[in-house]
Amino acid sequence: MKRMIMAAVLLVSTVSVFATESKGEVKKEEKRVEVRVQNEDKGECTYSATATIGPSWAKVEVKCSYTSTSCKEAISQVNRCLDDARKAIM
Amino acid sequence: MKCKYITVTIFCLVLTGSLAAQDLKVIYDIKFNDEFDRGRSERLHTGQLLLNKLTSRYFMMAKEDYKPKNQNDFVFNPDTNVLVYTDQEKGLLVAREYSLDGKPFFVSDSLYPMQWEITAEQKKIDSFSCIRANAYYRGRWYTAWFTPDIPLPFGPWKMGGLPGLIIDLQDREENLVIRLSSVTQTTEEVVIPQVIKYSMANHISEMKKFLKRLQDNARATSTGDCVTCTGHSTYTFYYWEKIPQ
Repeated sequence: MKRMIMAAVLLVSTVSVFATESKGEVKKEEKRVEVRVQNEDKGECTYSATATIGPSWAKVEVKCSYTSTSCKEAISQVNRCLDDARKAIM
Repeated sequence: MKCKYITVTIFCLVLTGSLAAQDLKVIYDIKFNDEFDRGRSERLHTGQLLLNKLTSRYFMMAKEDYKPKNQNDFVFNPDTNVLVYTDQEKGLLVAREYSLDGKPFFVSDSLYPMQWEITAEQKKIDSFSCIRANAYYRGRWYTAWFTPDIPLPFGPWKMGGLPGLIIDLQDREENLVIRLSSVTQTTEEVVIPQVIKYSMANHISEMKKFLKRLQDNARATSTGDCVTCTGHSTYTFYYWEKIPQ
């Protein structure tokens, strides 16, 4: 149990640091991060983010969620997913 | 102070002739919840209704900037500048819509299709005698207070068709709350746009097609190039006038 909590803390820290480095906006970025350890021995990182696009009266909400053994990879996939959505709409 | 201003204005209008015979400018104070159907993030707006016997022009704009939830929250500016025209003689309503990339165009819509239930409830709003009416319109329940003192069928946004001007309107969840601020005479003219891109039915059909394309595109690209990744994306559309599925 202790190992699992430690692993979760480590992963949260990793993702937060990555997010901070990539965007330089700690508070905004941290709100996007959601991390879950699914396996004690094989840590899996789930990263989810939501983008809302459009005028206030008619908005599209895009939710992207990816799970990987690598948090960096999961974040990269989510960012790509959001970029694709943005390009498709705008 | 505001109440006194409205009372004096109305008194002067009554002295100079019937209110219904005047071209009027009605100003509303408005609260709109940008996060309708998702949460709450209210912003103040102002609404202006120009009207005469046969035509009207309603314009609504935000008094405050949009507050993005995070860096992924994209909004177009001006984002809530609602513009609606009516022509009672032609039974026509024309509204400005925006595509999701922010381009404006005009859409023709039905004039006051809502079925009002006029209640026995009455009250004074400023100097006006008002009657309460309720209606269900495009997915939401609305309560309106209209005044037979100004016997014209107009109202803010797309609402109207009552035997008096709507001076107070809100939906049941209070996402949109419209209150009277002032009524004055005006000489401003209402010029209804002639270039209409879609009927409302066509506009809705186009939006549905666009959303389907987005969803199909998301399915096609969701596997990505990461072999250890599993993931998905979903698109949800939030439109103030709820679209029938």
